[in-house]
Amino acid sequence: MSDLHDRFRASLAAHLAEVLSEDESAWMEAHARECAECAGLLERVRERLPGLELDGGHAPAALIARWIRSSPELTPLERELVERHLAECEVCRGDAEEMSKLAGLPAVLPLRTGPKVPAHSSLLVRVAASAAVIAVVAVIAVQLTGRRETRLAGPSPGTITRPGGAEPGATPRAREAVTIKLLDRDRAEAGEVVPSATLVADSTRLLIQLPPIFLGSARRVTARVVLGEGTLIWERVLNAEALARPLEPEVATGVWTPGRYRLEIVPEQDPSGTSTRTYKFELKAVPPVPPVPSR
Amino acid sequence: MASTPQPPHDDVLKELNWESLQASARRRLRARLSGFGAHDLEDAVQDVAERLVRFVRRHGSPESPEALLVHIVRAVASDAIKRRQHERRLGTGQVRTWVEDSPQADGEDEILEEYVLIVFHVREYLRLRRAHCLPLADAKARGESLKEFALRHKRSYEGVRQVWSRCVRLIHDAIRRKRLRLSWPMPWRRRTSGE
Repeated sequence: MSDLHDRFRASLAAHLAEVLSEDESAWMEAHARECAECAGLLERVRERLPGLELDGGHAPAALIARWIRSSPELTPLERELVERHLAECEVCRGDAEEMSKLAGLPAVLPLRTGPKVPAHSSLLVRVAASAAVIAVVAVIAVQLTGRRETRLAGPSPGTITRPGGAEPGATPRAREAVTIKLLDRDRAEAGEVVPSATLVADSTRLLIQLPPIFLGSARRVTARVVLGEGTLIWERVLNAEALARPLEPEVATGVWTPGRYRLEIVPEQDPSGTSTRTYKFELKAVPPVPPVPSR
Repeated sequence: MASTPQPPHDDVLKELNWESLQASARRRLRARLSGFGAHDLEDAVQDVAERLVRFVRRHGSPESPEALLVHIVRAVASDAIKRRQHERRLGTGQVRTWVEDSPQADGEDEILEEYVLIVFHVREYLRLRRAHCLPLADAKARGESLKEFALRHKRSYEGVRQVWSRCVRLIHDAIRRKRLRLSWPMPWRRRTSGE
């Protein structure tokens, strides 16, 4: 009889979540009709379910702990589900930051994406003794629905953009920064939407903002940008904290060319490459605004 | 003269960094209890500390103190909010707490924790898949049954079940392909010998 109790108890949560198969669910109901003890347990737990109303929808603390402590134990899908949730849930993000702090672990969590950044939203930065921090520059939001291009606010009608004399909010001047904001949906296994940005011909600075990323206990990563099938454009070993701010990879020629790229983040001590994060992005070019001929 | 017996797991309690734990609890409670006064906030912090002590005395060292802290903070915050809601509606403040001190409640707590874990994965996976039954997954996350959902939305229970069962197949498929594992031990529950 205790085997039946054990079976009932082991499946009770899934039964209440209504995710069991029909056969299993029928067995659970039948057993509850025959066993007063199990029926009592079912009712008591069922009565407590409405208590989840306030916190329902948040990531369980146990799962966040698993994510910050030992992410390689989660399947890639489970990791993605947690990271997607953390990207969107300020409360859970705050809990994750706090838990990382208490656990003495570095955690890299992004600023909340979207137009509104909460006042208390912050990146958790744990500075290593000899950290070299990559400089942060401006961020341009990238539209991720479909393959629409994003460019900085173009010149209003009648505005003339002269080299070195662009009006505020006009087409980016030469050497201004263009930013790609990557989301975890763009990871190699998803591959549905590729964020893109438009380069002005002389633009030389590219900033890449990463989505939520967990590095476990790795304090250093190798970040590399690859063009097309395998042309290495840029590679650098960084401290984990640097990923909390937009990366500014440099191209040898000084000018980014249009094309399909990918950013790879390889945590240290990961020879198998199983923890490598890959993010695709695309750079597109438009010709600069021609100067208006003088009269 | 006989020496005074030590309370259980006293050594574990001494090892915990109470200053950090309380500071963390205060920060997280402040984030959740906006609109509560400083006095209520400090009461909540004390409540968290007391529950933490009670937990450690019953179960020993938690495997993940930070997870346990957040779990208790959420429960305390939830109780505080419900208490205020009750007080405003009925003038009473009795709210059943999430974490209770009895073997029976321990068993119920574990099942509830497992439930929360399952519905989180189900909901987030269905969101990822843009499944049409997402409102049902949201209802499950709130602790609502399909029957209650059907009643509330004046829909046929059989129809709601059919919609849900199609989505459940997606979950089963992900489990079969080992992309999802819907249960694992709670990290802060240590197994005592004989369990």
